Amino acid sequence: MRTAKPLRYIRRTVAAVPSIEELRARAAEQGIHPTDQDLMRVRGFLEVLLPALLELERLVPGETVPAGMFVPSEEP
Amino acid sequence: VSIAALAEALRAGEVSPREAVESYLDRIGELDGTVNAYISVRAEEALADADALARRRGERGPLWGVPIAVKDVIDVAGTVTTAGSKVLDGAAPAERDACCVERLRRAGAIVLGKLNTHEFAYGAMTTSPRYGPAHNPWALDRICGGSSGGSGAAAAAGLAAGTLGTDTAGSIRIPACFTGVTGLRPTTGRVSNRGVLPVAWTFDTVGPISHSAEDCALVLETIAGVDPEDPSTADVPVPPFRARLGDGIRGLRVGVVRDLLERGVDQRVAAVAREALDVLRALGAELLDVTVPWLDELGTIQQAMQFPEATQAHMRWLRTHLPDYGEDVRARLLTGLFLAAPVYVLGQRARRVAAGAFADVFRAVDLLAAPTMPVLPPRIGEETVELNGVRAPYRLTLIRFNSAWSVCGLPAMSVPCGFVAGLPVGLALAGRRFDELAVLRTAHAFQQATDWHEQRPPLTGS
Repeated sequence: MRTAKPLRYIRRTVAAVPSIEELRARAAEQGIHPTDQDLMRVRGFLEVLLPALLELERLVPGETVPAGMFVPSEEP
Repeated sequence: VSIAALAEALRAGEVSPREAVESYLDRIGELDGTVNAYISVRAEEALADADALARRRGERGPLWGVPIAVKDVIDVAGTVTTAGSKVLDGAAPAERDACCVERLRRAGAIVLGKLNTHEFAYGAMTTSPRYGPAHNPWALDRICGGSSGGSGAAAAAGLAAGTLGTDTAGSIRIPACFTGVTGLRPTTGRVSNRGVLPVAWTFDTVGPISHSAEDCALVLETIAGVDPEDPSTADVPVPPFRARLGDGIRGLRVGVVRDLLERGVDQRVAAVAREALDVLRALGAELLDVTVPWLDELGTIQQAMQFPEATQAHMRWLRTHLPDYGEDVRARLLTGLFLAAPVYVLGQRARRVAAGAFADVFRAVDLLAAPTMPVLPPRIGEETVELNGVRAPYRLTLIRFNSAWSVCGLPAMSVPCGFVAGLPVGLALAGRRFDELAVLRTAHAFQQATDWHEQRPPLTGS
């Protein structure tokens, strides 16, 4: 696939997962105090999710408006 | 015994409501020590409800005297909703029935108890650190799937005539598949979520798990319909699902999602699903290969919204009860804290694109079909599963097979269609929004031609 190499590059370089210290500080700002072990698991999720979100952002056409929520006539 | 058959026997006076309840209580006493499907059994209350039903004069509803059990994220008045979590230890009993429970009772059903769940319905294992794992009745060392694992296990083991589960990203279909029963995720908005603990409001829906499509139709037409107290419900007519089950599927265009039969799926499972598709063809359906656009992205689209919504739903407890969550759910809920607001909007934008893509697919076909789950249930305690000779993370294998239908709120069903190594395999059928009838008709036609849904696990008491 022609896009494979650039995507791997994006995943390695752009979707940087925050450090444990950064995650701990951001959680504390919201009144939540996880352990480092919790945050290691969080990083595991983010390592998969953040690159996938970057790719999704690339794929969604720019003119797309958000879907509705709880308005059945507008909901997909 | 199916719900339909038991309801008929109750109406005919061959069985009394008390006898029906006692029969299930006996079976729960005999088997649930092994299966662990229940978190709480309402033995005294259910018997009292049965006696009250028998005394009451007047019209009898379609589920009169039928014992049903519900997943323990659904409120039943007078009973604590535990969500399978230590976080809710000491919570007060629910003051009011959830809307779906109100409707079940109005139809004459008796609530037998509350069923095991993945903690807060946020996972696909049903291995609650607080209440213990639900064991798969077909292989007790394996999981039932989740999050409605107790609902699947109870239906499969005959510990209730039927059950209710909830589905956000596969939580009805996965356990129905793994435990060899029939489960329907209705269209999002078809059934009220009032009185049900949320996972993610955009995707959550309540639905039936039982032995057959006929049972699912009977329960769905009981619980479906607009609820003025739940703004997520849609004011659309509820068809008489059961009465129209026999319409047949001749000429129905079934889109076979070829990619889900060929990639990321245990080839033994795919072979069983292909045989099931042959049955549909023999029944008169027209099978067409289809490509579902965005199939690889639909999981990401769902997670972009599901992570933040679930985290928002739990903020108060994350601040006060963080250590009381199990490890896996705690990590998922914390992850939502670190996704910025634009991620959520990206999810909603991508969801619109995906919905448009599905609308295009549904111009060419009436229904979509694929394996429900690509793998067999893992052993309890294992987080990986065998996939064509390689160990793969269980959680990641299932996303493509389940989020596809959830993201766009489609009705989707798992129908038992065979076995691999003694473990059940399910065929997923997904329809247009609010077209549960096509899904149920197809499942019913399949079940009239096969007996996979009549197979029962060989259980003995502990």
